[in-house]
Amino acid sequence: MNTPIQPRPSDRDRAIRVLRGLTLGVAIGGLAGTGAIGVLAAQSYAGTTGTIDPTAADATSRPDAQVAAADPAATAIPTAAASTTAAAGVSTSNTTAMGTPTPTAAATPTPTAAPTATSVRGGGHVTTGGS
Amino acid sequence: MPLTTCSWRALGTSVHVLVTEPEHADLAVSVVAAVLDEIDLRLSRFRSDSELSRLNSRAGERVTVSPLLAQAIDVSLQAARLTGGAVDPTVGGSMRLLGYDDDFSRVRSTGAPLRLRVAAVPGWRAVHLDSSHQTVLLERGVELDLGSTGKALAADLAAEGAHLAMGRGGALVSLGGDIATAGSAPLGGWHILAAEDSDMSADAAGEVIGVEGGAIATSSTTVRRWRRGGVVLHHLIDPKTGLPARSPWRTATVLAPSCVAANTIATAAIVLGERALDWLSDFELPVRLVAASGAVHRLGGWPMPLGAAA
Repeated sequence: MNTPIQPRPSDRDRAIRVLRGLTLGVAIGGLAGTGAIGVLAAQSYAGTTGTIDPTAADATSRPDAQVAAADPAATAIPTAAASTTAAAGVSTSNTTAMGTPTPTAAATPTPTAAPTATSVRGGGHVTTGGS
Repeated sequence: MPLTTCSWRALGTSVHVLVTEPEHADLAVSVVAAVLDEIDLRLSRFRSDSELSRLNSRAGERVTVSPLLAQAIDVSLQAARLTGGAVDPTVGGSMRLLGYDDDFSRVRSTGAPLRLRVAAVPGWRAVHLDSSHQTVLLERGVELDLGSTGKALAADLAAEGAHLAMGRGGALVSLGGDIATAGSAPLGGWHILAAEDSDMSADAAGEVIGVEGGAIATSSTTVRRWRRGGVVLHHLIDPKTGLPARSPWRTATVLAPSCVAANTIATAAIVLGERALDWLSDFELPVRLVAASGAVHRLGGWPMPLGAAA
């Protein structure tokens, strides 16, 4: 049985405090996202006109990310590392050509465990679909 | 295990938060709400006071941006790089010309014919991000739209934030069907109905999968559609033409380590069309494609529905 609740204004201040702490968390979350993208890119494609930035591909292995991920309490203390993000590199070309991405062996794969799915009976907790 | 749930609307779509720790649910939900407020303030293309709108209005100048906007642009450029430009953040101008110029709830469902021109979007290489200095230069004529990867990034950040706020257990955040999880799943996993419209009730008949973690996202041409002069338009833009993508796939659902990755690959699958089959095979991620005919293709270990012939 699920228990529905609603956001409470009284929690807002606490949430903002956590969110400030999450400035580092933003980096963590962002690294989770961009790291995954980077890993996938490293494993497979760089695009027809692009190259892989190794700093982006290896973002999740950066020491600051590992420390933060291992110690949630660290997020309670905003630090200069809060603005640390995976570097994307700077694009300097006007090229807009697009084609089927082609494989590259330019970067070393850093495997991220790919999630797996099983079929289950009954209803779902949530729905994925277009929106 | 009972889950605590909370639903509301934000970022022009539905929000569902599920957590396994009821005693910390209020704080987790409030953190999600705060993350989404911040995302809206920074990344909305439809708010004149958003940081993205201010950046778009200053094309041709190098602009210092917030960490969150820099992060979002970084993600969008990585998505473009990964997909060879099939998912491109410079589609903002095309979206506007097609009539998608406001929160979708306020976009008129019908309207007069448009004079449309086939023209490639400026392209992601016209976006110059200096991550170390958190500055961005958009070349003249570039309008960013971070809607696709931005929503997925929001889901990733919100789930991570909710989990960190709770300190244990697990959280699931769904933003219009783009779903991110963090922490431990409930016993038996998170159960997700794979549909074409995220507004479909999770109890509806259909394929339900169980996952222990990661993220799942769906891109579809069957929703967020509008008409101009009798022509049906949708929001998945082909950067080569600046027009709604014409694809043999109407819906793509992807399970990946992050929602950003899932959303990017799902959107690229639609845009790449037939070429997507080969492209997807190298990722070895579970993918569910629905063809225009309604036929379902399952790739990369996406499970067959229970009771279906193998």
